[in-house]
Amino acid sequence: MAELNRRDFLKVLGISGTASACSIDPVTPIENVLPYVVTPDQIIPGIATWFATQCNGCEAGCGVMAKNREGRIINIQGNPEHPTNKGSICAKGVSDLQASYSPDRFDGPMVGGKAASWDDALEATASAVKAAQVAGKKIVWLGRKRTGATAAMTDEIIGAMGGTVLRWEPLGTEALRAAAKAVFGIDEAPHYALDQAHTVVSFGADFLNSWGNPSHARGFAEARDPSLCGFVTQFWTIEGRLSNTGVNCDVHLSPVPGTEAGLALATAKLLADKKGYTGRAASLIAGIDAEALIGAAGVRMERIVELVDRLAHNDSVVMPSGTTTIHEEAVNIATLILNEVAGNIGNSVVFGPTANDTGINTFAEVAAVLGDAANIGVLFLDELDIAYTMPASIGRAALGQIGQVVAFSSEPTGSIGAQSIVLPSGTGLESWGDNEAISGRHTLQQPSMKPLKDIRCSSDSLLGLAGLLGLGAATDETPGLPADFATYLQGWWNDNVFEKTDAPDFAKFWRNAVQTGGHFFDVTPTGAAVQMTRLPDAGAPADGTTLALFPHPFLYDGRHANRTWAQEVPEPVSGLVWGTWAELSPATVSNLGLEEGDNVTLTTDAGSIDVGFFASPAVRDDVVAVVMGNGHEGAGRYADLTGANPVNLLSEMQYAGASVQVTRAGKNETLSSQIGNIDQDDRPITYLVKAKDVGTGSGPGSIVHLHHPPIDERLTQAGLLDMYPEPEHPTYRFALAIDNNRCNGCGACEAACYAENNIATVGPEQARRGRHMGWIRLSRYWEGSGEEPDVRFQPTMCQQCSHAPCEGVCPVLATYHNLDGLNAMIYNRCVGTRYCANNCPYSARRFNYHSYDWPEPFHMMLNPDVLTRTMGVMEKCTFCVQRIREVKDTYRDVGQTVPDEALLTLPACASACPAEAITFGNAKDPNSTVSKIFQDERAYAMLSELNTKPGVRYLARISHSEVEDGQGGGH
Amino acid sequence: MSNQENNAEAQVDTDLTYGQVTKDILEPLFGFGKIYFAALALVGIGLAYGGWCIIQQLVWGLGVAGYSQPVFWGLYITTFVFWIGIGHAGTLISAVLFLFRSKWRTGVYRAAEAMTIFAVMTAALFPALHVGRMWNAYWLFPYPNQRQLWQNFKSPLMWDVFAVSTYFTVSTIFFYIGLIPDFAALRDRTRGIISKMYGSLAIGWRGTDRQWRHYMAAYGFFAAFATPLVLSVHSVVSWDFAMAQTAGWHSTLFPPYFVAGAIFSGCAMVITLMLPLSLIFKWDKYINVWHFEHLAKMCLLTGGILTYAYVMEHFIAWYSDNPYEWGIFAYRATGDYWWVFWIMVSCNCVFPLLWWFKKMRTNLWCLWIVSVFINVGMWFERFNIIASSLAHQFDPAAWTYYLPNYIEIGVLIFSFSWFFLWFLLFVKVMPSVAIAEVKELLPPPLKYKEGAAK
Amino acid sequence: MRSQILAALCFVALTAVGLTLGLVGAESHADESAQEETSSFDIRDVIPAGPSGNDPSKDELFPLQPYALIPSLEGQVAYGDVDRAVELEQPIAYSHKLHAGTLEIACEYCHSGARRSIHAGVPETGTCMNCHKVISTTDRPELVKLVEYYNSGEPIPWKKVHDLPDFVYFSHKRHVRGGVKCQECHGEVQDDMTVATRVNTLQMGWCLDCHRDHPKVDENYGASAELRRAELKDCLTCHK
Repeated sequence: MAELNRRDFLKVLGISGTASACSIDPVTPIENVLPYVVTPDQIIPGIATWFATQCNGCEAGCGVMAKNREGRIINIQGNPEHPTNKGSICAKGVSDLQASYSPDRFDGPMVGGKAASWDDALEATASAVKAAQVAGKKIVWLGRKRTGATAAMTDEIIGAMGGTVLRWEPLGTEALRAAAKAVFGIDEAPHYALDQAHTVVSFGADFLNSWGNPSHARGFAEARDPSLCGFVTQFWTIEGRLSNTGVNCDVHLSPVPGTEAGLALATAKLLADKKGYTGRAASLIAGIDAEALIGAAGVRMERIVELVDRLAHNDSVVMPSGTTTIHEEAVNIATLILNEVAGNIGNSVVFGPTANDTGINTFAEVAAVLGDAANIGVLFLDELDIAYTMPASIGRAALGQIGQVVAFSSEPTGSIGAQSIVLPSGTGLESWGDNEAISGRHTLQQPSMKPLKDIRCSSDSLLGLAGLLGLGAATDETPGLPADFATYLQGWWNDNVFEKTDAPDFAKFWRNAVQTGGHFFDVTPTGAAVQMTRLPDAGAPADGTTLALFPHPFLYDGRHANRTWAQEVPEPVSGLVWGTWAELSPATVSNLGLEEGDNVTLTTDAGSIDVGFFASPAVRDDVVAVVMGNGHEGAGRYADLTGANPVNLLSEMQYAGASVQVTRAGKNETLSSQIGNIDQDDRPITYLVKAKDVGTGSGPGSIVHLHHPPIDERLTQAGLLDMYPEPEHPTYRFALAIDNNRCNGCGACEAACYAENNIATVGPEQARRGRHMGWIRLSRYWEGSGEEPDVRFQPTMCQQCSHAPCEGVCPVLATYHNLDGLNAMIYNRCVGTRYCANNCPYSARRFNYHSYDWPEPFHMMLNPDVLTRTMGVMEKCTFCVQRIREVKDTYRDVGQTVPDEALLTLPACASACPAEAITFGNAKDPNSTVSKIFQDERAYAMLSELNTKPGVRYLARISHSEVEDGQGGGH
Repeated sequence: MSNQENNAEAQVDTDLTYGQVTKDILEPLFGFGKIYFAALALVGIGLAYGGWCIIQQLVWGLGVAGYSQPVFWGLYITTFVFWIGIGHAGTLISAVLFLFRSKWRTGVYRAAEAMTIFAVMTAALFPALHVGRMWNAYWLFPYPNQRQLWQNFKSPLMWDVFAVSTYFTVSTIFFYIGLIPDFAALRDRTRGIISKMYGSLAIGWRGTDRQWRHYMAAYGFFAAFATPLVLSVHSVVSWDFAMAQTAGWHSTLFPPYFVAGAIFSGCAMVITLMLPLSLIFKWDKYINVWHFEHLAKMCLLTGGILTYAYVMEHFIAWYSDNPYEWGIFAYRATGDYWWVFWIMVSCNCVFPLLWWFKKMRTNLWCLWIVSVFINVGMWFERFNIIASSLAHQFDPAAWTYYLPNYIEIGVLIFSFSWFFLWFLLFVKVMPSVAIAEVKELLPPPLKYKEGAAK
Repeated sequence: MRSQILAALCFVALTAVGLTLGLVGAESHADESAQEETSSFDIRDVIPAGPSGNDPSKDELFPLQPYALIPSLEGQVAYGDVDRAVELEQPIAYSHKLHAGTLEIACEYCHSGARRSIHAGVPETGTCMNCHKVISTTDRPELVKLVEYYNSGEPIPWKKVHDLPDFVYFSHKRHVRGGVKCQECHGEVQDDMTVATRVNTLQMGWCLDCHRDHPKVDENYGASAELRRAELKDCLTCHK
């Protein structure tokens, strides 16, 4: 060992004395150490406490575990007990942690733009309500999707006030519900089970990502995994562009906007003829002229025939339309009929365990109420930003006329004006709550840390309000409203959940529910019978260039725009950060003569905005797709910073269909792409294997190497490849296996990495200068084109090489290979020569060009187990070494080595991944899961020809395409 | 060969007397012209601006420079290699040519050697300036510390530390030894405190036979000692790149290619510096076209080697059929950095061809302008190697484009100002031409002949 | 004459250097005072961070921290040379000698985290009160202070005597369970410490001396002691 040599050297020279003389004393100011006065039980300083609670990142209502260290929540992970996300979490959920530490939070209640006490604020609200009641004006509650006790109590109290409750989600399943109602007479968005489908057809739904139900991602991944079900699902997407979901397709058909419904019906017709279908939908599609419709859609007949053939012979599922589809309802009706004809209803398309949309209103209903805003006396806004998410003609217009806006929100939004009353509702980490977002899955939200600000959850405020208004007082027949929401919550659960169970004792049931994060009933899935008698009009094709808005995978409908993580994790398909952009076809780009970094002006009859652009190879020439989420006003410092709001281009609440003009504008000041090149430039970086080859191989990587010959084994045997011996790994060789075939490029791993490792967010300006700090680069290679886009994702983090190029060149041994197979990086030893990063063939290292600081109170969110790096230091992934250290420590207490199951999802990326594509483990142990995966026929090491012996192996993506994979060749 | 032939070859006018020589060469050390002060002012401005840029970097971090991941090295390392390269010609001329007994070195070697030392001093700034935490840069030196840590001797950067420091030490000693007799001459020409200063530097030189015998032995020894360094130092520097895995760096060609390039740029720099000097100080008797012509020939040789290296690099990259290797070389010539590449080629391979014509390489203007072009070209060669290879690393998803910004340019200016500061200092305190060695070329003064120096 | 020129040259050189040191000095001073109370001086006024941001308007969004080029020379050496470790003025003159020595209260009674967590933990005020509820506190000023703190609900602002830098991962749990006695690092608090003082450098070399060959390693790991020693010399064992 190096130190030993050094010691001998010192002995020989006999100058150990000098050693201490040369020691340099760091001088630090004296710090205080503040003990608790009385320590809360279950808190031991230095040991994390986990609380099961619910995620408020979107309306899916997943269960999460909040990690509390010394009284602060520092991380959020999926709750393995929860049936919806089963331990995974998406980027939105992770980013939502920042909501609690946002520097823009309200410190307390506000009345007329001035800080007020809770009593005054509630008084003001009460008097406003009274005034409205006297004047006979409406009292309206307009908010996000709420279910369970939270919703029940709102309904009760607002009802008692004589008000109306409206709940609406900008990205809700409205069109799908309407379609299901029309076809089956069931007012429910069906549940789609993908895991057994040989063929998945999508008409534009972004079901793997922004559709807010992680079970789809998991199901799709399972359907693509040959080791699980013996087949690899084939994914057809039929849309005018490729969504973050669509890029995973095998076949992309790009119909004329507005003809999707016709195309689906034509397919149904052909399928029915092929199968001799005589079900209840037969009469509906009898009179359809398939050829004509397919011709109108501008899609090749052969393809549809091929599709019909697949649908006829396999289990399949047809996914509905997305926000970028025109005539959504008509398309959804058509897809449901296609599902019916394909025999999926009751199998892969079911009702029952579906999104619980009871009490969720359609936009029409909301618009009707906002329509005569003049008659609204009091509008309670429950976190919904109507000024941002609705067309100005509806949202802003209404806000202008409403008597009094009362906002429940922890952060400012564009809808909160100077005259509004603000009742800060805190975040999910600070208050009680619950949801039943999916029927039967009752999820509990418990306060997991002390509120940072003077807040009350909206339900408590309502109770206070009710008290002032003398509502819900105890009478002899009703017990009346309790003093606080926690009590109400228990009461509601007692009546509505506990009663349905066979648990003997509520106290025990409640404790158990709080511990496991809720109580989950199995709702039996049911089929449905077609009720529809005649097809509605399929809608006319659009003419001219049409606009199509799509949700940002992380900013979602814009609610996460003030989260720097959501802003700075590159959007997986375009690699863009910080801003709003339009997807333009390469033809459009060249016609407009656009260069990288340019802006375009989009103009519709409703308005015009300037946005950046992304030249997407898959978007139609007559479609302009614009990302939602950025371009806020008065919604926080980060939200306001960049972009423009594309909803301002809409005259009515239709995300797709408006005709739009595109013209060239000036330079874009904030947007920057973190992906260097559109494809892999004919280099063998990531591989593809043919579906037909799967299962034919023997030995690691055998079928990958059909097309890409591996390094000649004889060289290795002759010792001609290695100058130095393999480093020793006595106990562990920590390793990661990433299944590119499961990975759908959702970016959850990147966000989780930011949260776990205190990675700095550098902002738009630094990002443009190439100082993006994310440790995982979700590389995206767009290899194909036309009907077979062949988009490949490859999450690239430090590969922990056994023969690491970076280690040899560090002059001060700040990075070296440790006994556990980790490529250690000792931050405070680094002098920043950056030679290691130059020599890393994976470009996996990041350099701190500045000391990026955290504006308060973000610093409270930092992970105490991870050093915050300062200026001039190199940093990178070390497989979450702090977690490894912790788990090793735990098992050392009982004198064991860490077992496989304790490692599987240890790193943040692996624990988050909704597709379960990332597996961690000990490659030293031949029976560990990773070791087995390393033996897979699809396993390959990135840039293996460099012989770096990485600790990360990828499983090649499986392609159904018959085109030979020419990429890279074997060099 | 006979003394006469020597002198004929050495192009030294034999009518010169020792006294005249000493007088001519020491002339510039007494009294100053406007040009000198103008130069001084320029240097001052450069240092001030560069200093401001360096403070920026110290306080706010390297982020103020134009780096863009994964381009982690840029202008600083480029300039480091550039200055190290400049240094080489000095040692080559003073040591190697001394061993080969080629007379034409006599006139120019002193200044060339000074140039070497100052160039190394300038180069040495950059490793410190480019590290992220320059306040910890001392960790690169193996010293006993309480951390009980040792450096990584596998790292080419460590080799650099030793190569450069050795080079600096040896060439300084060699430089000093050459100066001893001339210090003595200065001692005798000056009075008071200054005389004492030179006296101490001349360490009691009297010019006796014994002293000359020992002196020549020592001088020869250090010449021999310095010679291998000419090859070793830049080879080691080239390993910073050749030892890396990065495509476009990872090449066994580098050491000879870098050494040739170093001598190429070094000789060009000597012309760039000495030509104006000899004109300003009217030293045409000692440094004249004849010397520059030899330097030009040296450039032609090394430039030829360099051109060959360029061609081979690209050929091998193409022939290897390695997508990364060929990717880089194609990118250099046709990609974002095409302009760098073509400046490099035209300055290093095309313009010097003029010197194949005697008319051209004896024309002072042509000599000077082309030599400047060569310096520019050699700087861009290093930039081409470093920036383009890093901008297009292995994984296309991580590609980027890097350009130095005004901070880096400021530091570049600082380095030139720093170099010229020392050079200006030098010409005023030390004889820029080796008096003693020039005298060797003259016929020994005979008693009865008039005008003999003491 | 020549000397004048030399002076001129040195002047030029020194302006550059002086400029550097001057600003650097000012900057570090500002930074140091910023650590104690707010200072009117802001390095951002003197040195804007150039092209890559720190436009003051953006400060609060993505703040950059300037580097303190010269560490402040005030304050106590939290680790390093022992001679410079001063006895700190604690809010309450608590005596380890009395409690741990005379009264022989076990260390872990108060520092209850030592066996379970990375932090040994400074006892909550409640722990003190367990005994001092019954032990008379009147006419004993130090105890009066204690009770005041307890009733006020304010934590006692103890001063850190052993302050490891942030980049160090140190687990009391591992050391205590490994059988390392508290005194080996913290000194004989029970005998000669009315006020706890740092008696070791807490520097890397000092840690390594034990990590290299502490007898307990052989005791605990027997056959695999060699491996354990190797692990103990792995930088990642103690560095985050």
